[in-house]
Amino acid sequence: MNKSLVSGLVLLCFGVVCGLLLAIVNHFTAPVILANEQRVIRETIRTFFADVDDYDLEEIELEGDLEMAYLLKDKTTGAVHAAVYRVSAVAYNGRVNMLIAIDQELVVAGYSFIDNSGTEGLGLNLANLDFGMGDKPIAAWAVEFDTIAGATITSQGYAPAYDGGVRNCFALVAERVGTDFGGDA
Amino acid sequence: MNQKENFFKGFVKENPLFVSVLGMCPSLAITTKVENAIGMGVAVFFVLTLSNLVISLIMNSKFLRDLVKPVRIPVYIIVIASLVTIVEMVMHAYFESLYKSLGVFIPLIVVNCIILGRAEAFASENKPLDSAIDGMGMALGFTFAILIISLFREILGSGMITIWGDAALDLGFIFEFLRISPIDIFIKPVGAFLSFAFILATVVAIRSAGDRRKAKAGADK
Repeated sequence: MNKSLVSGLVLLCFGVVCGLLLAIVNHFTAPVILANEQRVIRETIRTFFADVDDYDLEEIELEGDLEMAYLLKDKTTGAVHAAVYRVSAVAYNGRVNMLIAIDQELVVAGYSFIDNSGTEGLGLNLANLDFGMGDKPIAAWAVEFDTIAGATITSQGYAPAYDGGVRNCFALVAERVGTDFGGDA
Repeated sequence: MNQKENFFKGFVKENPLFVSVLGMCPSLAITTKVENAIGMGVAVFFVLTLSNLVISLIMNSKFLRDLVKPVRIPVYIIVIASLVTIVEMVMHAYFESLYKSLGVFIPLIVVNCIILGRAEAFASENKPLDSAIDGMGMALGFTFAILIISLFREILGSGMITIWGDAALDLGFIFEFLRISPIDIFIKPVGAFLSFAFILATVVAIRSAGDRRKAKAGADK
């Protein structure tokens, strides 16, 4: 038989045996990995909604800058109680990656920064400050969110870029909430 | 060479890191904490011992040897990559913080020269038991070497020793007593090269002194 063919078949056999072995190991480890990931997600969502365990958690993988939606659904009716979105947008000197939590009134229940490469010193500390936005709906956050109103001329130089990026994150969520909750933001 | 010599040669005489200077990349990258060195050591121990055993079993069977010989390097890589993937999956499932801490250096064990080197230089030519013992010895020698580097770096760079998870030994009082701060540079990449250079120079100096003593003793006889 052709030597190259034999060599190819040998490699194929080894590949199949190793693939089967990996499939067996994966059968045992994959559920543990998934459970760990779910636990981390629930811990993160708990910072926004303490009663997260009272609801079913549905993950929806989205496309583009709005990367992921986590919907907290009522265990009996299936109605969406709240949602947390993982979203990113171009901001000052890099991208800003955020988690934005929305309650059923379509009001921002909280937000946090996963990563903010442009302004780590300031950006990551912005979470939990509402900058006077209070209970305004998500659509308003997408337009009016302003971290440095009245700041110096120098810092105003970065305001459009930075706040623009954060507002874009809120805008992407504002566009999406109608789909998840039903109705308009 | 008996099995005891075979096992212990990896510790000093043929230490993969300090003598053969193999597997430098992960050794320098992950030695910021003792915990990382222990985790990497365990992973390499598992992969090196089993890869040596499996490859030796394959190459000791006449039928398989004839089939595999023309494509032995790809076969070694398939075996090693499978073992590394198993380590990666188990670590991801049960030791997540260590998995995140070691990061890309877990899959990079596949291309660690020590593992492929022992497969080609030793396991393919020796019996399975000897190959497994060689793998254990080399892996422990490698672990011993990265433990020394990480101890050196973590003590000087962070003023502590992180053994596992929250189990850490805070040596800040020594720095306070000396009225100095930990030297941050040692946990940075440049510190890895400096630490390795210091330790390697010390090892070479000790070996040279030993060789000179032996030569002198031989001449005196």
